[in-house]
Amino acid sequence: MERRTFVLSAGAIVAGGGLALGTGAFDSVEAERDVTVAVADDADGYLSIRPHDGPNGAYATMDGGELAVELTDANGAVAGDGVNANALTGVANLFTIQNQGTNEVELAVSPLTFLDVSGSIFPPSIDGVLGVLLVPQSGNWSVDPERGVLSITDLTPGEETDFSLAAVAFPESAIDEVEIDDELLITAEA
Amino acid sequence: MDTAPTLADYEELADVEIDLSDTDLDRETIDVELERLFDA
Amino acid sequence: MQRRKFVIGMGALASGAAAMVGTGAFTSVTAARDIDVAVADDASAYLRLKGTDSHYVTDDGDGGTLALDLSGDNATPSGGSGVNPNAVTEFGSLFEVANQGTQPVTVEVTKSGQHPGAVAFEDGNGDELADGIELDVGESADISLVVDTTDDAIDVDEQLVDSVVFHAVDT
Repeated sequence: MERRTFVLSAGAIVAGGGLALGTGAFDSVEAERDVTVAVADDADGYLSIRPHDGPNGAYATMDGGELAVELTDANGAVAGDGVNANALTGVANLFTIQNQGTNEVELAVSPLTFLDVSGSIFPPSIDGVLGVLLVPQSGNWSVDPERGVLSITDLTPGEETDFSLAAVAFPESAIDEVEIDDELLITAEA
Repeated sequence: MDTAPTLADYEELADVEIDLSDTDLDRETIDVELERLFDA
Repeated sequence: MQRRKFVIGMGALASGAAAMVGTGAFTSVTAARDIDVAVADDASAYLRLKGTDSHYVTDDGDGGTLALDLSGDNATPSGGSGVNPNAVTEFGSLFEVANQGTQPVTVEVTKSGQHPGAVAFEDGNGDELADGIELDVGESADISLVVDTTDDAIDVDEQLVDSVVFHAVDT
């Protein structure tokens, strides 16, 4: 008898509970199957991204199930509207990323340096500089300057890592002149 | 690495140089704060 | 009979059962998340510094950073250009410092100048900012200046303090 190679397709008919063997010709098959994929919010996702459970977690908001780092007047949970000018502001324990999957992953966060500079080249003058730096709180980090990425290797299932933030704003004219309105890319690869 | 990143690390990552001459903040103060945040 | 090739899709089908996908075994996740940071004036920033309506407050922090000037650059309308020598002068309620952040902090001040020890920032209890004043979230302190020029080493026309640095560290 001719050997046949069978490879199952996601839509292959399973008639009456057995594997379908090629008994006859057919032109098309349509079979409905249950596939359940749920969308969880960031805290409950396979890669959990959530505000730190300490007080500085209030500097991060959950908007539509997605985490946002919000150091502006749009954050109703904090009385202040932003960082002081001519100042260095440090926010420890801001957000947490946890591997809630089943594979060990390499976590990459990029960029880590956010800059907004306002001023002119001729004559050279600076109206404002705002630098925001994301600080890993993990001993297991390394930097890939080519990709502008920080990576934390070997985040095992269940393992979590926290991030802090430092902001430098100057001079006084930086007030309402410079701001960060950007995106942070978080990737986890098994 | 198990030590805190420094301001120089961040500058290298972003391929920029942050000029602090318009302010009283110095690199050492910033690096000390980065260490505090790393150890938190 | 013609051979047919079927191709495996996502997960092998068990007979009659739902297609099974390996639960939790993701191979990669990519998520872009917002980060927004603003620079606020001293009156509305996380460490609030707000000057009162005093002649000696040259910037009350509304739209800018707090600035005090008790010198000839900010002479009073009646001609005063600095504190008296060999005297103790108090300037009540010059500014408010408040914690508009997320956790209790200790606020301190370090002063630079020719005689920084001559200038004290005090709250309503007589506690000095130089020694640290604790502020809960939402709490504020009303700060007065006490300038003591009785030290022999202090001469007329000297600039006692020319700048200060406020530190607020979580307690």
